[in-house]
Amino acid sequence: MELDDLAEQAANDACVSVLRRLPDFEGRSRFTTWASKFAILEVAHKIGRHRWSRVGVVLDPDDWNRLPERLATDPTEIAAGRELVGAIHDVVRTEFTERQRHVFEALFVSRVGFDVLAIELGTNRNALYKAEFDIRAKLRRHLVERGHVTQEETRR
Amino acid sequence: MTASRESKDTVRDRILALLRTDPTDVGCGQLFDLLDQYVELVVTGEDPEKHLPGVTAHLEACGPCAEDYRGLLATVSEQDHDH
Repeated sequence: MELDDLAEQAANDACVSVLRRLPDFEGRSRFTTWASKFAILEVAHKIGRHRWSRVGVVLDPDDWNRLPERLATDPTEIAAGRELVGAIHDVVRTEFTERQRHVFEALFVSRVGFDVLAIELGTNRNALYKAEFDIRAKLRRHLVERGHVTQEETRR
Repeated sequence: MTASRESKDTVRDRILALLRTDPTDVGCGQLFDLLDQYVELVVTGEDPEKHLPGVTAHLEACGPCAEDYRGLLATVSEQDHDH
């Protein structure tokens, strides 16, 4: 699918969404702003599906080894990063379910697009975000328990 | 591990940012319901964090929703500029 087709389809689907949701419009914002967000959502969904159909979700085990270099350029920083990334990898391998491991590795290690992963898993952005939120909390809990980070460090 | 961090952050800072979860975060579903109101607060010069703090928390944590926010903000700003 070419980008022009994708844009046209997104515009058409956005019109359908707006018409379907019209009874829900409460005037809390201007109508044009309210309607535009459906177009934005359709574009994001179409682009995600477009990427998924072209590339899919590709996880490379070596992405774990490349992660510290991706996070820093300074050798001291890379060494510090390697230690913490190793601790994270250990938690992911020993404490996560298979699905949690797949989500974590796709999003944070191999940097698969969020919408692309949602399409692959047959879920939606909201459900995937909730899963990711829980995964981050679980990772934090185990890293604190194992003494790699402190509870205070993980607070805002 | 998120692209939005400043380069001065250490690796540890970046990883710690990943570990933080804000209990006020509204999630993607509610974010979509409130996004138009949030954008209008921004374009009218109001403080959106004061009125919708859970939306701000979500936008700081969710890359795809933050991208939608930037897209809607750009669209609305352009529409306002044209009128």
